[in-house]
Amino acid sequence: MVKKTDKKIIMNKYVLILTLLFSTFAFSQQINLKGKVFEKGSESPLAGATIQVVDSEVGVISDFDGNFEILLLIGDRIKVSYVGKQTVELPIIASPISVFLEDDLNELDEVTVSVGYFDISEKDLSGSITQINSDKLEKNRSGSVESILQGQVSGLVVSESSEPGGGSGISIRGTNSILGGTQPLYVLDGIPVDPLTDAEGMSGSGESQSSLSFINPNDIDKIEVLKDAAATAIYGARGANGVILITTKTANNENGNDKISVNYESYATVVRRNISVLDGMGFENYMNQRVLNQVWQDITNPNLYSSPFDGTQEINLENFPVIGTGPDATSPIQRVLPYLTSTGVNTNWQDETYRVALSNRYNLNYRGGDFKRNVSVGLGINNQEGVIINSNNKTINLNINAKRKGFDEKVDIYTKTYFTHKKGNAASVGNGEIFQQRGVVSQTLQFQPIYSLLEPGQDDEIYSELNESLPISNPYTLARYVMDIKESTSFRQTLQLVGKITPKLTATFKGSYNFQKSNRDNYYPLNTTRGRNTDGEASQAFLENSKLYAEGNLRYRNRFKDHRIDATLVGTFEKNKIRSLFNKARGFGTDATTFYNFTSAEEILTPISQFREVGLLSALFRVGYNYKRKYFVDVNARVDASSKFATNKKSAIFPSIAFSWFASKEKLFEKYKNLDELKLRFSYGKIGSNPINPYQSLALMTPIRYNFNDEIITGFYESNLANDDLTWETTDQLNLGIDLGLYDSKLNFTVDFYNKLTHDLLQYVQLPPSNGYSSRVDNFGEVENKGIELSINGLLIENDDLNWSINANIGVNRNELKQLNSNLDFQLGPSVGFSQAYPIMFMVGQPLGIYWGAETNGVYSNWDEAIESGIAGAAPGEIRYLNHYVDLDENGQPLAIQEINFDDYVKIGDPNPDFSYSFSNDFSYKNWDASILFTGQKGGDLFWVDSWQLSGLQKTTNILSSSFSNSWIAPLAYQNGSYVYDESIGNLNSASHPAAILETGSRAIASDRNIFDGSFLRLKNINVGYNFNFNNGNSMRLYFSGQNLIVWTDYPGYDPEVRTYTKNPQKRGVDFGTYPGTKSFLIGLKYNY
Amino acid sequence: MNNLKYKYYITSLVFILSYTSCDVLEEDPFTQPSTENFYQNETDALAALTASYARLKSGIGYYKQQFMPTLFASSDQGLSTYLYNEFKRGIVTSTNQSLNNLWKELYLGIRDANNVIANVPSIQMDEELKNRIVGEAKFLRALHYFNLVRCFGEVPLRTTPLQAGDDQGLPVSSIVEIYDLIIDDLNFASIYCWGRNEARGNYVNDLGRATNTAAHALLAKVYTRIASCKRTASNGIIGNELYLGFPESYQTYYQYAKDHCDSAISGQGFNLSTSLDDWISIFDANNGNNPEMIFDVQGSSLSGQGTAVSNLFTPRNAGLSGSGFGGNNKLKPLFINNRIDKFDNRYQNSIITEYETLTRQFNINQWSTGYVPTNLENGNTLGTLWQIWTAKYIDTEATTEYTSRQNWHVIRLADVYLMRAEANAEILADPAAANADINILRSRVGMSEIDYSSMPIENFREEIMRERAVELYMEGHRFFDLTRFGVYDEYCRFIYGNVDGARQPEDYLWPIPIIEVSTNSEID
Repeated sequence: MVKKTDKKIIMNKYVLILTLLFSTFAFSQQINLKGKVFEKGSESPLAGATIQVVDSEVGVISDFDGNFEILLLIGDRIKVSYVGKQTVELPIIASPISVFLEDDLNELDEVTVSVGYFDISEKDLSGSITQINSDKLEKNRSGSVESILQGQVSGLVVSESSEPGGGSGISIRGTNSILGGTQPLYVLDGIPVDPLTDAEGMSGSGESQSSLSFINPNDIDKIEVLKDAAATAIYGARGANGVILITTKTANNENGNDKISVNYESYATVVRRNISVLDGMGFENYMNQRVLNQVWQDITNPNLYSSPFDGTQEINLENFPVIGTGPDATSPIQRVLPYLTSTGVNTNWQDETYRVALSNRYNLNYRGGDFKRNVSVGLGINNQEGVIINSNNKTINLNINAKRKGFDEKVDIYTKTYFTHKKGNAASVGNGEIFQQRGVVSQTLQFQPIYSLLEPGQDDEIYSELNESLPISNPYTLARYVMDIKESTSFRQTLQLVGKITPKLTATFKGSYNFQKSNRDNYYPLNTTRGRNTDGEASQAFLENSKLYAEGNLRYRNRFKDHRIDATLVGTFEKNKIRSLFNKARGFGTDATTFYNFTSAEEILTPISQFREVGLLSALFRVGYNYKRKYFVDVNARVDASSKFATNKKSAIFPSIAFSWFASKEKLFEKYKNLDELKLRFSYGKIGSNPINPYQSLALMTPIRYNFNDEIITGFYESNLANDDLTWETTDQLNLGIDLGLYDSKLNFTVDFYNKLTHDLLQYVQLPPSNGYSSRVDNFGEVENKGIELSINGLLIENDDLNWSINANIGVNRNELKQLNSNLDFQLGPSVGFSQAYPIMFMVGQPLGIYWGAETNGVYSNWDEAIESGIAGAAPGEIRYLNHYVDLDENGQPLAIQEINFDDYVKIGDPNPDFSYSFSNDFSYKNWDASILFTGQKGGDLFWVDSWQLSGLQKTTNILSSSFSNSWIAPLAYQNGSYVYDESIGNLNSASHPAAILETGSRAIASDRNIFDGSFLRLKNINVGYNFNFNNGNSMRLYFSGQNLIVWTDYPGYDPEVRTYTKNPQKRGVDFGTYPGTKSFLIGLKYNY
Repeated sequence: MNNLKYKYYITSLVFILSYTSCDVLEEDPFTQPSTENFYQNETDALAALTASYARLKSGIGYYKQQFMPTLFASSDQGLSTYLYNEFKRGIVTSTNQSLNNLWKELYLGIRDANNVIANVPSIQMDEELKNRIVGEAKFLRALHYFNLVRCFGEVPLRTTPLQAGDDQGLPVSSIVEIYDLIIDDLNFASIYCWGRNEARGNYVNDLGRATNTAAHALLAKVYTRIASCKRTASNGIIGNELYLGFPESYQTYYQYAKDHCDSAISGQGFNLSTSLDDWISIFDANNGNNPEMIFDVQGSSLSGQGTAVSNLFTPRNAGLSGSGFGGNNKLKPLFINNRIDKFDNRYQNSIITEYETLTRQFNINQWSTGYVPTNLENGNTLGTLWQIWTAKYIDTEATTEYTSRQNWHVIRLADVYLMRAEANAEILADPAAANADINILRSRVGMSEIDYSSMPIENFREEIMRERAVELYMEGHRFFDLTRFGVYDEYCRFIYGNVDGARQPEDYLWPIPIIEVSTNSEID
């Protein structure tokens, strides 16, 4: 409603156009007024507008063509109103008339937000939704949608992947689910989409890359992140991890013009930091020290000598035969230091393997047409190099959106086409199953600096001496020659019809077809470790996913005086067909055909084929009601039925309710002049999740082969137990929110409190393997996530020349496993690392996925301490593990020798961050603009698998410089062929790392030594631009941007934010030879015609 | 006026939903048949049995790879990879991954055998074949439980298929109960399994299947273990104290062992090799399933059917096995010099005396305790490598890690003779009673005959271990021999020294793996 007091202001902007075709001066004459109502802007007829004679009961509604007729007196005033438009009041002096209605200014100025199947005004929002518009996207130049989201939304945490084309993981408001992962549901222009999925790769060939690369960030108009139940319940079944809505750009607002923009960017990427490992000389010292330490440990050992070395005896074979290494006692040879003379070689494997990567992005955008028919085309090419040599990715995106208002402008027809092609070589970053199959990154750190690159004619045999007499590839060879080619194509076509059935009732029909295919081909050539063992090993894999989506949608909106109602009824249908094939062969004997041809392979493994179908049917009913736009109620009910669950458990109802109160519209608050907006929101709802593979509720047989006397026969075994109870994982979410706007909404605060309780957790319930089934998918347990999110944005300075705004977010989440399987209070996570320890634990009363292992307290200084500990394997220079559980003998007496085993393990870390935050500034001064974004996290421990080797000092591989310099060192020197005691060179008492020694104790135990604090503060993005505005209306923008330029962290690995298993919620926080974190510098030019 | 269109829309929406709804939500897995339609006929019965056999090498934990090297590392024979350090040092913990793999695969085998034993009897089919199938399944179940009880002691004893909802796990059973099941199963198998390669009606017992002879041989091994463990437990070996629960005297169990040895030795189709050359050829990769092998896990070069045996026990890159990281298991000079007669033809003819890699040639030294490497480029001799490779598992045609045709020998006839020798001597407390069987094995390989007449029984026990070691070294028996004779600590200390070699009574058995303990509420 337009208030009279506002009239002056409104008159200025009033865009009522009243056309008088005839004018007479007769009064009080009854006429049959004929008229037509149009929508301003589109100039299309407006059906269903209310025309009412002021101060009377007489009124009509415009028909389908916007026409109306009404009997009245000349001089009467009529009021023309329509939902979402400004009401117009005017005197009648003639007939016919045309009335043009402009969008309600109040509502026009408002940001509309997609809540899923429809848009509503942000002011009417009861749910917790964050919007990121194209302005923001423009500033944060990044190749992936995930990293654009980083720091923009409180409560949203991204685990990055730096691999070219690699997929990042996102979690919103903590981790609900063990099996479900944390990936939100993505909805692209109203259609739920599945991120691209890689075909299966060979084991150890790096993580798969499912990611959002099907959409070019340049084509995105806005992104909405739906967080609470009120918002996500609309997507019911799959909303439990939050929903991210992506809307692509259209040409709706081009007013008949043609616009072209061209964008070119070039950027250089480097590894964020190098890790300091020993150089050639340092490594030789380390190797020599191993012998010195061993000799000292042996000669002081009271178990070996009744009078161990006390500083006085001469250290020779006669006194201490143990310093000999001969095969038996008859031929002792004194141990000598292996590198008395230096090899003189010093290879920095990080320099050899990493590079400055140069990449380019090109974008071409055309938008043209008017409101009634328009077309928008976006073409993007991203040609990206990775910092590891030979890793790269090339992506092409094409996006075409077209619209036409057809059938007498009653039906809007939209077509949207998305095409993506992606191809790249991932470089064998991943670690294999066994120690010798270290991946590129692990190997880069661990490979011996005293070895050189291979000369022509040499092979890995020259590396065998220090690698357990095995020929092992250096990291350069691995990166250079292993092939891991990932290629994917995605085509998506959407057709959408929107028609007005009555003025207040809109019907929408959407149909979408999506075809994805991805290939992954691996080859380990003969000159690599693995290729040598397998005589050439190749795999070919493909995965094909076709998906049909259909949606019918009815929306009814009406207004009765101060009551507004907005109701929606939706039905959707989804069907996925997925098929995949994986082929593997070994024993090629030659690299001639790599993975292209298996004919020459000795051993062709049985192909693994999969055919899967998944269906989902859903219906949604939603009613939004508000009174005076002050009191809001939203009620939602959604029914979902998924094929994945047991016969009678397929469907579930996901209801939600939300209230909000626009308190600042109350009289009570009128006196607070600076208070523009105060809104309280409350919502509660149920949402679900079904992230499992199909067919898990059925009892199935699986084929298996055996042979008798060289003849193969096939058998079948029961691989699945039926589970008649398998059903939805459900999350109850409660949200309380406050929105506060001050000083003409220049300063805005939003606070949300939430509590999510997820029950019937879908998980691989681990069963006693003695059952014959070691796991089963079932609903078990409860997880709680609760937290606070705060975001502040302020326009600090706003004038013609200078603008400065800030934006800050913080999200605190607490996660707790409330309940597990009925009879157990903990469940082990998957094994990790080469020694395959079980460092991850799901324990009732603890956050999900805590780390579990031995507690340590430095190292033993000498034999007295070691023997006193009573722990098996204790020796000077060995890690001092704490014995938390006393092993008893049959009589209940403590055993003399205590072993460190699982019983002694305790919680050693927690991968869940305490809180995450971000802070950004945007400046503009005349034609200049700049933005700067910091993101950070407190807590969130990391398990650095490579630290086992890099700080364990247990092998003849390279180690961290800092670990060696703080290690236990024997007070022993080697001079002129004999060992000499020298107290001054020892470091027995203040060592924080164990001794470099030939025969180590247990150092492969998962312990607190492998856990690191993942806290960081990062200068995520800095961006400076200058805009040239030309006279002809064209413009050009030149900009520079830097990413990850500075990171403040104590984490000794490459990057605290970069994870190996970005999408596996069971292995969060694990860094196992991850593609190293990078920083990049970018220069870009954008020309708008 | 718009009602019609409205109705039309609703109708079409409802239509779309109902049309698709039934079909979309139903699951039809194309790649896997349902359990409901299984166990209908002879084909299904055989297929279910095949799966139980396939478990012997379906994962790396059992006979495909890790079981043998873990047993080897646990024994006193020599050097293995650091991956098995916990076994070598006698500090095996419940989180050890090889242990977890082994446990899981043993019980998969038991599950599949249980399914055969429970479901096949009700199938309408040839009765003789049906009994054979159940008999083979029982043989396999007994083998799995025998391996379990020997390695872990008291374990959960599951003998019927798991029902849905009944999956919280079973408590451990006493070893007597476990052995009772093993003995029952093997007795059944010894009656209903067929002879080696025997044909009955339209059916042939394929080479490689469990036979009635194999059941007797395994029974002999079971009783020999019970007997010797009970004996040593009575003499204060705490590591074997669980065997005190067996009611009868150890001599009685030796008597049972002897009876089954007799049955096995008279078994149709199996016989000892008769000359040294013959004996050497039983380890030839081209001579799998020869008549001396009573039960073998089958290796084959057919796709996916190879074992890792050749790779694990043969030097790398020497053309004697497939490529791969294997070649970790070697005999130690201390063992060769002290625990066997290294001049025995069986030792001398089952070790590798020379081999060549890309850059070096290795020749055995004069004491048969190591190799002298020569640099092929310049002819320089390098320091001796103090270790000896066995030639028992050479497969020159294997290409990669898992392509060896070499079988794992679970039990062979020579073992049965050695058991009978031991049983005869123990029953009468007279070592001379062992002479005949020992000398059969010795004379066929050209070794002089031995007479144990005047030897005290304690000394004889050491001698029988030496004979077993020289005949059966690196075939997976040594660890079990060390424990049942109660000499685990003494023998390991001798080879590995007082630190790595020390064995406590609890080291006689491995701990139940963490994956079981953490999920089974019936086990602490």
